[in-house]
Amino acid sequence: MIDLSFLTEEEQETILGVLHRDARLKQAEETRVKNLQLSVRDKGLLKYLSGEWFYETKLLRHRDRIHVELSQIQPKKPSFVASSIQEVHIPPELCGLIPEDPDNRRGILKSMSDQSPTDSLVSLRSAPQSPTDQASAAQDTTPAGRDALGKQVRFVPAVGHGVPQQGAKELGVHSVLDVDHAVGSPSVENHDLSEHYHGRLPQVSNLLSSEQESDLLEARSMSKSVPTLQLEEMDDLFDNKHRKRTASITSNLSWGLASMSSISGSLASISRGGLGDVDVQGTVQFALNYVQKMGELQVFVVQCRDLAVAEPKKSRSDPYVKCYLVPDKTKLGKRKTSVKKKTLIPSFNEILRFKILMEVLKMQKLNISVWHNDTFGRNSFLGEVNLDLSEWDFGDTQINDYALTPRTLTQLPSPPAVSSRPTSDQRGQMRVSLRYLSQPSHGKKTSKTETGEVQIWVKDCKDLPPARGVIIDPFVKCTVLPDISKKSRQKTRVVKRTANPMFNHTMVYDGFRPEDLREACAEITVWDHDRLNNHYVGGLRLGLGTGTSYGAAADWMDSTQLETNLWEKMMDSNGEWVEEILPLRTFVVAKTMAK
Amino acid sequence: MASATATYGQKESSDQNFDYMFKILIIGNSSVGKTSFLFRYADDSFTPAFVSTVGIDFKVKTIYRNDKRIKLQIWDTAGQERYRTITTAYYRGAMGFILMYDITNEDSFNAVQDWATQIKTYSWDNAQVLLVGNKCDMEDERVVSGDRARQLSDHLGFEFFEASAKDNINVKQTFERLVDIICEKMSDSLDNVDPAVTGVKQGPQLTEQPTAPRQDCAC
Repeated sequence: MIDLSFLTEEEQETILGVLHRDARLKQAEETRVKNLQLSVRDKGLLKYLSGEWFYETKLLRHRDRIHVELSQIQPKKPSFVASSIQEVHIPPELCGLIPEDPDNRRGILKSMSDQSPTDSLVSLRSAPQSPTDQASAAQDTTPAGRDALGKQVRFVPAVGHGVPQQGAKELGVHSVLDVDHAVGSPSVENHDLSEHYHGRLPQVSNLLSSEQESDLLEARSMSKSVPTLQLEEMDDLFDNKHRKRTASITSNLSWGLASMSSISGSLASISRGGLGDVDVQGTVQFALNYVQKMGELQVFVVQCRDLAVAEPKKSRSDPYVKCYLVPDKTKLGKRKTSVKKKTLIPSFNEILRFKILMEVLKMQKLNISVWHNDTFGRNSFLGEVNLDLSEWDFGDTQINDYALTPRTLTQLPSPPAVSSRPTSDQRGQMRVSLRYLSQPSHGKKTSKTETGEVQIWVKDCKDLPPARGVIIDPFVKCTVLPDISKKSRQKTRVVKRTANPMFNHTMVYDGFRPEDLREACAEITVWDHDRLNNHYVGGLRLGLGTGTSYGAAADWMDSTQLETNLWEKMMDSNGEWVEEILPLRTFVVAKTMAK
Repeated sequence: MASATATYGQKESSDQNFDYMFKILIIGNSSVGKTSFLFRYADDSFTPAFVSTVGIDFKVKTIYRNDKRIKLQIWDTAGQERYRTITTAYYRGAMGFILMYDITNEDSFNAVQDWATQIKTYSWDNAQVLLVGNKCDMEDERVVSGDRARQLSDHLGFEFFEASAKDNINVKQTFERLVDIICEKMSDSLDNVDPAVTGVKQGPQLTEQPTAPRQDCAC
């Protein structure tokens, strides 16, 4: 999100005007590309016509750069010792960013960083989307040999610019989609549904699924263009500005944390009143139905009652209902009803649909919020309802009234206890080998400067869960904390469409003194590759799990017993490989600059 | 090379009659003439009054080049530092850059290196960049020689033009050259595709400029 809060009202208006024009242009372009995709058979031609070539080239370029950077790093060998702990800057708030939703992260970042231009600048930086170098991955069958490794990264804990730069990648994604959803999804067959909704599954046309598909296409291609803002995001900007004035926390923050909480599980919500401009009141009436046959969650939004007045002067509200699945608060997971004008008791009778596997759905929370649609785009929040779907009885398809509540704010997770929960059944598992090799002694060897390298051989994963109902395209990322710099980050290649990927990729981090091993933690995470937005699947944290690093508290030093055991084994193994199959777990990735 | 007329407002998005869409970004210090340059190209207009651009703006122009209709979305950015967070967000989607300085303003030239670094940081590594020394009509006040600029552009690996938005010198040529370079990149991007597809003719014509820019400024 672009932070416009430092600008004057006038400047904001001007820029928003430009962004509106851009959104229109982008929408037209998406339509054109969509039509091309239907009409042009020649894939190569299509790449040109759609502009796809540009993004592909970008990826390639970046890959080249990685090699260059790495080869440049190699000869220097800065000492790991030299970096002092003060430079390690990981505010606990920043440790906890869910990589699945850039909006959330931006929200958090923005608010945490006091919205200084520098920070937003950094967070707006496009994150490299480089594919891992497949060549080196393919050669990694002899993982011990450094020549075959292809990649080597120095472990440098000092990170001055601690703010992730994942940011802006998908600024443009949603813009036009939302407009579509707001006005373009009147459901023809909805009118009488309320009667038989909880009796039998309504027969539904395929209209929606194809719409979703096209949304996907749109989202994919939108994501590649320069950032756009959409009305709602602009609202958020205004919201932010407004809230900052009242020294409150941005709406984005509450969102980000909400989604975080659902990933890390056990967090209590704290209700916060008075966040928005409008006093929340009234109810929303809806029913949930999961249609097994279609793999679809249907949220039947019936009506709202007794809504707050958003525009006191005109004493009116133009309400609509918006629905998200959290943590999948990507725009793919967002649905809206149409807008009802001038009413505090709107009837919608619309079905919002989410194509999603039941298993996945059960890990989500449903957020239903009511908004006032302002013609000038400054929508007001009128209240929301959150449902934890893991506890939801899907046999219950009754229409119910739910009281609207103010925005909720959830707390940051406290570091999970050591050996928290081996949820291997859900997240899958990874086979990984480790070893620590002391550097071959050079002439002037003294014990003080003796360093070695940690080699992490990511072998394979098993039983990775599907995401949003589809088998994922997994790849693995690794960062050795406390170094969260880009240099510390390494990735495997992406293996397409499998729950049981074989990577056989070795990552090498050097510059470790033996004592550093006690302070470092290898964070190995599995991701579902998506051009739009990689999705976090699960991970490991290999370290001693002491909760501290170089004397400072470190949330990410939270290795489970199994993980700690492996790390200890490595420290004692005298350069021999030690291997373990470990359950992947969810944690709040220490650092989300990676993508 | 006939240029179609530019379209505005609602029309800028409704015109679907084109083959490719290219995004171009104009950057450089404040008051070097980025907006004037764009207005000259898109509207063929010029006003000497200086109005600082607020954040970002863009214009759309559809041109006919290499037998293809190409819709250009040309982003004009504010040179002022305070808008930097906004403008840099647009680097990533840009296929080409016009990096502009003012030949009568030493500071603006000295900043070129920094702008190039910005491109490197926020864009892709091999972004196509043209260096443009604007206001070459003001020869009397020139402080940056063509040679110095050429040296720097060689060093940076950018092509170089001197131009004048006011006198309409090398404006169209700049854009067209940038479009050609992007077309070349495009045809490079997929080797196995029929070159006819891209409209860029393979072989010697590829590097030939149908409308050769004037060497330096005529003034």
